[in-house]
Amino acid sequence: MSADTESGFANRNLAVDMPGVEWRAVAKSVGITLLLGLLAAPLVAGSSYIGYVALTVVIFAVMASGYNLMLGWPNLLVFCPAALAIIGGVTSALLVNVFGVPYLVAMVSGGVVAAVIGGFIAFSAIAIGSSFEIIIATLAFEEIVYYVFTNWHAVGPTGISNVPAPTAGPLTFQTQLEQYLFLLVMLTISIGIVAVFDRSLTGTLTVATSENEDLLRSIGYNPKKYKFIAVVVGALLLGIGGSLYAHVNGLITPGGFTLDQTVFLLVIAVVGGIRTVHGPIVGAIVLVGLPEVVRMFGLSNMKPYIIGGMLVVVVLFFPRGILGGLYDAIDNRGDLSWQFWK
Amino acid sequence: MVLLETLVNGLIQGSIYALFAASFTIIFGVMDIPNMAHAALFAGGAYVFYQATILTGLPWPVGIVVAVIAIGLLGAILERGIFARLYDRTESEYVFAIILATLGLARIFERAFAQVWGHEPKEVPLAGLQSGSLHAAGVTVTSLELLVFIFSIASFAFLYWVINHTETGLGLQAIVQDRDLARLKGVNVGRTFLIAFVLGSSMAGVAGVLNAAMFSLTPDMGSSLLIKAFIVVILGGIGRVVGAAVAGYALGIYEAFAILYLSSYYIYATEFAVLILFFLLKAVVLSEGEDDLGAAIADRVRGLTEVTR
Repeated sequence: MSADTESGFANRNLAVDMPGVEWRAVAKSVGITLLLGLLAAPLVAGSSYIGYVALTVVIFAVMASGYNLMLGWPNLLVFCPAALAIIGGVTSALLVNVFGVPYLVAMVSGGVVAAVIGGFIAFSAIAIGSSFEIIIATLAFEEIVYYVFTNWHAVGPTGISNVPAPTAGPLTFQTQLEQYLFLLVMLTISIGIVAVFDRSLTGTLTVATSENEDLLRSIGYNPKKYKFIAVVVGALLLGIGGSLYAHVNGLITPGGFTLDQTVFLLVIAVVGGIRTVHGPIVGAIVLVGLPEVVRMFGLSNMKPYIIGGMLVVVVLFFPRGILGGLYDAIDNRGDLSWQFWK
Repeated sequence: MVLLETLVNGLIQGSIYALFAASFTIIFGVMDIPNMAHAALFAGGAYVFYQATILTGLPWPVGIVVAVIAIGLLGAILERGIFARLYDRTESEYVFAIILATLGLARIFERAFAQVWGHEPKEVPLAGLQSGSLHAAGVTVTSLELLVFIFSIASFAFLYWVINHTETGLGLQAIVQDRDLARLKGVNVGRTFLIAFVLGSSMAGVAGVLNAAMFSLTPDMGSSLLIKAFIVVILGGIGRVVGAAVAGYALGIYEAFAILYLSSYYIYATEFAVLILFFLLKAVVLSEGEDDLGAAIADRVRGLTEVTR
């Protein structure tokens, strides 16, 4: 009962985690996503422009869900989601283009490679500890990834083009509607993963690591493990999101995944509501959709003002984002973010 | 000959990093505000100068004064309007909020500069300094390069004096160490922070004018320098003016020599790798309460030699 007490307790708790998941709540979260997504399908079929925006919204919602997982639950300020996404995207595009691997295998491989890199990042971030140093170190890591990919002959500054559309066995998702439905399935799975995490003991304990680490350690849990899990699962989703991006757009370039993209994912997560399951979807609709709406009114190139302005306003007045604020307003009994939609 | 020329090039490049890092030292190093919009203040100073001298036709000293006042004022508005509201949040929330808000501000300013003055790079002449040059020992430097070198040294000397020998600087150090205790001891927290932030902003504005005169003026001319400034201030020892100056010149000289053998991509990648290694090393070596990596390592080494003796 001395040296291995900590890990012994923690392992036992992880083992009893899965039966502890509130499956009904997870089913509700997943069902809502799928239902609203399907209701939007006629819009996609009706116009190629709205269809294009919808595809972008869903891809960014998947990536932001992954990012939200590391940012929200353990409160680890990892600032390299774009690097993880492009690692997933490049892995999957190269596997399909060069080795002819079936798409779904390539996509999962992209996610796994991103998750492994995410594991190293999580390990370093936990060792570094101070939030500020984690931000700068991960920003530096993102720059290194950018330099490596632009210098690597297989990718280069122009990136990988002619990436084939996603396929699943005999099905090829070629038209916008087909791609939308495929992406919707992927988004639903991602939301499912986040919801299971959120509604399990692991998720609750991960939130606890951001509140009081010492207290958590004193009752026999290992806070590092929960942070690690959140970052690795988040990196997996980011990698898969990067793969979807590459194959739906047919192109992935290192220049498209630098600090700008990180900030964009950050804004989506923060505006939608950090540590809310559906926040990234709301954020993606607002942040991808709004600039398009503004462009329709002829005020082109307003995107930097919208993104910048939203960041400042949200930080000053709505730190919990749109969904977080809404939940607070509906049920004003303190922090209910992890008891989503009870 | 190549050696001397490279060394001079390195010193000039280092002066540019040091120039930017000087104003960043007070805001990020001393005041603990990781201001991602610092590059926008830097470019803003240059645009104000450009507007005043080239477009309006004022003489250049007036242009510098206008730039200092305008950017100082902008800094005051930012500090009062945004940062002052965030100081009371907990450590990780504070860092997160500052970084988010300043990233947003950087977006807004860069876009605004581009819309008002246009995207295309602009030449910014500064008192005919670009054309004058000095030759010594086979190396040629323009008068402007010399001025930048002198000015960056002067900035650090000025900062050192402000931080260590004025009431504002000493008050600032007290506030950063313990805000409540400083307030209790009669330091005017709000005013000290405001003065320091305005000072840092104005210095960034002047640095921007010099940088624009050396290269060209674009809305994002500071963004690549910002990440270098983080490297310089962090490796120099956070809050240490002399450390930041040395780190700035060292970085410039390293780049000037490394470019003889490596492509620039590898050079930048190695710099970032060093930064990450520094954080990891710090995390592994330092124990609770220590904050000086150099002293800690010396301490451990001394411990080892004592054991082996």
